[in-house]
Amino acid sequence: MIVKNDQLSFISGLKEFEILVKQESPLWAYNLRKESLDRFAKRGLPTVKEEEWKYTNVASLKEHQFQIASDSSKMAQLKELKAYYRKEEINLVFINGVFSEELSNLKKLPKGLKVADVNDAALYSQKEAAFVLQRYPQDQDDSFIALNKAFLYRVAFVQIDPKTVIKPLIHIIHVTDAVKSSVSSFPRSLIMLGKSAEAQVMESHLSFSDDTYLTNALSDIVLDQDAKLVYCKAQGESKNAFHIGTTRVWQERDSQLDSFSLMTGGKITRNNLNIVLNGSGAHATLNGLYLINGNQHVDNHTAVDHRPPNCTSTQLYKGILYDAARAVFNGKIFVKKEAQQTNSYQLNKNLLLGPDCRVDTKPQLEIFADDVKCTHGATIGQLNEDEIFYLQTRCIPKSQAVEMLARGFVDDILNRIADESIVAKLNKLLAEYFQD
Amino acid sequence: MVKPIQENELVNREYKYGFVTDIEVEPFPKGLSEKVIKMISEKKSEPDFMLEWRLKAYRHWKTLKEPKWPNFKYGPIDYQAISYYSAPKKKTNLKSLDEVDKELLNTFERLGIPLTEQKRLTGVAVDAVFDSVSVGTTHQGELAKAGVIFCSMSEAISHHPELIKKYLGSVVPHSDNFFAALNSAVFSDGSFCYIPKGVRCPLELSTYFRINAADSGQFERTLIIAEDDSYVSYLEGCTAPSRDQNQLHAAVVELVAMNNAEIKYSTVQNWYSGDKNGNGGIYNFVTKRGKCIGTNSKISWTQVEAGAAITWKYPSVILQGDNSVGKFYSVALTNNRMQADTGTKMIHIGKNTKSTIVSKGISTDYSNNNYRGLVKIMPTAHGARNFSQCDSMLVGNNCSANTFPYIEVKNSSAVLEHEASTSKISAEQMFYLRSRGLDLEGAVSLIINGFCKEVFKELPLEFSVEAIKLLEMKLEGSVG
Amino acid sequence: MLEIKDLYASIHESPILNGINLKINSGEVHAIMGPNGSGKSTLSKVIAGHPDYSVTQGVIEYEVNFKKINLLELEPEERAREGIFLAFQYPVEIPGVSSSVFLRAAFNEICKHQGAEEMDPLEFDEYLRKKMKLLDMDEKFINRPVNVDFSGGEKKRNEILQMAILNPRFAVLDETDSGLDIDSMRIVADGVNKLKSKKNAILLITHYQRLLNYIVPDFVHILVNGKIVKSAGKELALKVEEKGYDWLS
Repeated sequence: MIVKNDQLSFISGLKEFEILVKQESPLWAYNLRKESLDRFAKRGLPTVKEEEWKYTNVASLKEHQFQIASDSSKMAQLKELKAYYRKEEINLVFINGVFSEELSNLKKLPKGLKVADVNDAALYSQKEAAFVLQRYPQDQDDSFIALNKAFLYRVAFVQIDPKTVIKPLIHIIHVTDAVKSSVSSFPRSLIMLGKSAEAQVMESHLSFSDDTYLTNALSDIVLDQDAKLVYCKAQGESKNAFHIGTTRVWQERDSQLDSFSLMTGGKITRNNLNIVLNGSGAHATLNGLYLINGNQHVDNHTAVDHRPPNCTSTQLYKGILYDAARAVFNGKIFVKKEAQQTNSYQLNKNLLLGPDCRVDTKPQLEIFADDVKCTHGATIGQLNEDEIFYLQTRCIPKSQAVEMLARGFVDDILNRIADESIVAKLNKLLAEYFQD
Repeated sequence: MVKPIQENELVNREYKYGFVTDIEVEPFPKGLSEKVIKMISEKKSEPDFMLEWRLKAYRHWKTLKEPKWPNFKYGPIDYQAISYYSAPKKKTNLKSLDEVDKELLNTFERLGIPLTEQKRLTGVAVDAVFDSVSVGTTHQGELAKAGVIFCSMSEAISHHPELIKKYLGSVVPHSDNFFAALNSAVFSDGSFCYIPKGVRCPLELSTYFRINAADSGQFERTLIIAEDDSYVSYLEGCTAPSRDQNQLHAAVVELVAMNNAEIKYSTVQNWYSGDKNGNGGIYNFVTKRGKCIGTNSKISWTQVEAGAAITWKYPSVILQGDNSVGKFYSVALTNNRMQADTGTKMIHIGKNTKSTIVSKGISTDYSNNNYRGLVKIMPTAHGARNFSQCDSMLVGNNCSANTFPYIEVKNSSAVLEHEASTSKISAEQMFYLRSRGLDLEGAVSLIINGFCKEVFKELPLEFSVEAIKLLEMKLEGSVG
Repeated sequence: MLEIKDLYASIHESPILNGINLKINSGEVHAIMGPNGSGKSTLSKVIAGHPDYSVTQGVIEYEVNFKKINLLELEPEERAREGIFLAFQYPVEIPGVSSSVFLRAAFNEICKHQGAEEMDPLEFDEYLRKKMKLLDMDEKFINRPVNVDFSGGEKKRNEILQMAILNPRFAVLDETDSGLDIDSMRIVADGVNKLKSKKNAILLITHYQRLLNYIVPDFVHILVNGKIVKSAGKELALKVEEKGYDWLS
């Protein structure tokens, strides 16, 4: 079934994967994998000639062989991982792409909440889940979504019943520990909130090593009418890892999304966040932060599609670049003809603190309705010399002054996150940069 | 021979420059081939190097494909159905502009550009280009006194070949893009300006472009060279008859600014834009670029784009000299079914280079208005600064306004700021202004002026008044 | 000066005004009070000529040069030039257009209409500054775009400034007091009182009685369901403040 082809030369272990999924996979999953694989084979890896990949070159993936992970090998750094735990939270843990029951705590879930690692068969028996799987036209899948789907098998599944309010944080943790060889994992999650449900969900991609590996993630989030979700994606991968992830959010009437993305790890990171505001009165906040150094490359792409009237969206992405790091930001706002009274705001701010940093930013508006208020902006610059000087005259050494001001730049956006346990986790990922 | 005008060709009554001049032209075959290029070169009695240059461009053009990335929809262009040269029959040895064909003089007078000695505009030297040739240039004597060369491109090729060899294609090489290559192969005329060292050009220089013939394209080429410590302000205007066939205009403009030199280039573009249903109009595919070679040099582009069925144009500045400054001020108005994809490129190479971009897009009816811009800070450009502001205004609910700014920074010491916004003319605003005694026209004019004031103030005074009137005329009927 | 006769008006086909009759003479100050949704703002918009409202019956007679004309037949700007002024409840923001440019344009329209000479920017600047002192307004205001990023109080003061500049014969003040703190209201009321004369008339539309302590009306009318249900002197306002509107209907 899986035919080895040139485009897939950087992935190995296809046969083993096939054997693994064969016994229990239903026909639809088989077909989905096959079609997606064909699609990827046809497209291949994107090149910088494609507008969407103009500033991020993934050709170097081909210099590696990423073995599809199949067993949850022993975690070497349990202690480090445990630092991200809290007893009262609901943890769903995957190691090298494989569910770890002993590290997850899914017993005694509150009423109205389902959190599970499900296989493809179980997933499809869920009527709503099946609907979500078919919501986005398959032929519009980009290379990496197709690649993720080609290896669909286990799904991190979160479902909250209508009118249910879940207080504790639901934390999906993907840890990669590629002790022996480079591995590839294809995390897939599905988060669904029923009418007027409320929850806080965090997805973390972590590694406590400097291994080389590939994470190709796909998350789908559906917010039914009046649902409210606080969502955080934290990427603290190894500094040699490739992370390519897409989160798609579908929002019905009056639903509220408050999202935050933090990117600190990875050699090459691409993070797509695509929002469809499909019902009147829906609101999405897309905030993001990236701190990178060395030769790291982070690329954030956001797209907000305003379809009906009276929706609002706000975006603030901030980044600090050290050394020779490189950041890309591409934010698209679409306002469809029917989307009158749209209010949309977007800002990307970059602080260049290294000698050889690069930034490519492309905020983009496409507007087809006239009664709208849209603004976007981008700034690129350094710390204010006067502020540094002021701190120096108050006895603070320059290096510390720089750190203080950078911390201020970061806190300005971290302070917008209401949930203290999310902030605490994000601060752990930022420890490399700040001493406090 | 130009066909007598048909009643039904006057598709758009609102466009007051839509008339056709009935004048005898030299016949020229349609289509493009090496033979045609040789004929053009021969007609103009060009030196051999020029013909070679054209042929090289043509051979390169044949390897290129028409760009598809702009945000446009239009049918295929048949490059073999276009006549690449059209000129009124020439009388030999004209002694003065007063001897130019009466029909031509009348045409330019109707366009508001009188050329004859008695009537010509004071303070502005005009080069008038009719289809493929320059009809004449005013105030040449006065300019010569100051050492300024201002003449048609054809004249410059025969009188100043050393300057042409040195600078033609030095900013926009023939290989730059599809339309620049086409222009390099077939360009017919245009204006040439040379401002010598230390001279502040005593007059505003201006070129007026008129497309008249049917089935012909206009491929003009303009080259402005400002030597050390010189200054020049240059204006161009464009119109064409209303025809229900699309016509191609593919121009190239090159600017060169040496140490401490300053070039101000202003355009009021009012090509025929087609009728309400999008029939006819000029395809305006233009490559404009300036190079700030010298330190402290300055180039500014100011444009009011109000015509043409399709506009594809990105007046750019290469900031090569240290401390050089590039500016771009633009108002682009689209109505009916017009499509515009316009903006600028600022390429920062030298140290402490600065650029400013102010773009105002107004879309109405069923039109599509895009800002596309690039600010690129190269690794050598220490201390580079850019400020960009792109605002769109939508009038009515069937148009669209898009913004595609690309910002690429390869030097850590750069400081850039980009802002963009959209706004609208709303019924409530109209009522508010009317309840204070302003009529509909006055209210629209007030809002448009407010929206575009940063750009209008960059235009020479007479042009700015013209530009405002032009926009108001175009917006009439869309608002209220 | 102005007489509203049997006025019916509706918006999007739902009737709001149901037969208003009101006569206002020069030198008079009238106040209209009424519960929310009674049609107060509609009346002001109909007088100024807002295109969203359609008048289904009735006339508004307005005396110009000793001749009566039907105001309803004029465009909004024609009414303004004849001396009708509406101070908006929610003044509209006009980004990009500076206040001084806007005010001069409006002022000169009225000059033109009256056959008077238009003012050049310098003369107007002086005139504007004089009027601004009247309302205790900051100099910075001149170059700011009309109403953009103005506080609620600034917007209302700006409306009265416009009244001072355009010098109308008949001014409608639509809830000019709402949202103002007591100090701002005093400034606004002082401004209005200074503009009051024997030759002009003012129609105050308000929800609260407190404004009427500062701008004292000659008549108070109560509007309920699009009809004037009671008219009397200024004491009526106090009664309404005390008892509410229920006893009237």
